[in-house]
Amino acid sequence: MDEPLVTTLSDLEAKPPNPRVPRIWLVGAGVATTGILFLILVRGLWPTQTPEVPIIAPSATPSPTPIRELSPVATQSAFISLETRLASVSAAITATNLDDPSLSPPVIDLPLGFVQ
Amino acid sequence: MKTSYFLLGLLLSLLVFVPTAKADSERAYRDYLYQFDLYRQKNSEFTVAKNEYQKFKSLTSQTTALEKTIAMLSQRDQLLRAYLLLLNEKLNEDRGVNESEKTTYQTLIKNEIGFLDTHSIVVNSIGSLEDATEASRELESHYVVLGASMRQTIIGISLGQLFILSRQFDTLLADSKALLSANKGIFTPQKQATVDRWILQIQNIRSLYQQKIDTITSQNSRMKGTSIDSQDELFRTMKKDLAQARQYLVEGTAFIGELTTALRFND
Repeated sequence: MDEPLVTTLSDLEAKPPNPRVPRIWLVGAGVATTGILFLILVRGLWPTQTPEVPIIAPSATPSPTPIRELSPVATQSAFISLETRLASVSAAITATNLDDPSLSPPVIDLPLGFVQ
Repeated sequence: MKTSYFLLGLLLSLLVFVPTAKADSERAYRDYLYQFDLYRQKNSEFTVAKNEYQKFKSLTSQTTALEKTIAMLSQRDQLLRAYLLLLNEKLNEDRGVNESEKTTYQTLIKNEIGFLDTHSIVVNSIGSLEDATEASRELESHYVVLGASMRQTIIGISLGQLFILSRQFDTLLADSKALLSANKGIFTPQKQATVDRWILQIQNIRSLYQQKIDTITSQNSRMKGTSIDSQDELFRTMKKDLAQARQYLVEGTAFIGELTTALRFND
């Protein structure tokens, strides 16, 4: 029981702020600013070299299908008619099914199989 | 005025009759499937009844076996009859089969239907299992002829289909040749020589097709009198040949396609 537990009035009085704390902050901020300035200076003096992108000069691309000159036959009505009928006959041949499953002969059991 | 009425009537009758021909074969096919289902059912009932009879040898099982045998034999005739009628309708639809061949195949079908009708009368008069076995043997011994008629008709229908296509192919080839001869001086001598060689190749393909068709026609007429197994083998060979003949037409048409592309351009 050395000290009394009762708070005295003098303990509650406002104490003046510690003058050393803001000085530390000021020094820190100064160092950071100097560092940033130094980095900017260094970057300005020795700029980093970015790889150069080669610029390709536009040139005329060759067409995949060469332009062919039409013959006088191509415009004849007989030729146009032939082409149309060819497409139709070709489609008809492709569509023809010679193996019609509905025409397969029925499979039946012939001998009755009674054991005599 | 009368002419326009006549044309209108003709058009209407065509509209009425053309779908009917197709509908007839579809109806025949549905009937055939129905008869096949019935046959499977009656054949299965017959098999059960036969096994029961052979196991117990009782009078009851014998009577049931006889009933089921008669029902199955009768349905077997009905099934074959329905199949022949389907073939007949398919023949009627096929515009490629010429009239004389059609008459031949239809006579074959008619004869077989006649046989089956007579056989059905025999089946209906069966009184014992021995009678049933005898009636079944009648069909078994005739089945080689019946099978040949069926297979001949099927091949005939396929030949008819190919005939229509080959006729169209021939028209294309003839028109290509006519177009070439009408424009003889237009192309360079080199191109003209190439195109002439292509025409020869197309004609060559056409003759290969014809050889195949002739072989099939000859084999088809020789089908009668062989066993069912040899019929099946010959049938498979002819089917393969038919596919090959069709392939010749496919190749020939592709060649004509190349020819028209060559004619379209100057180079």
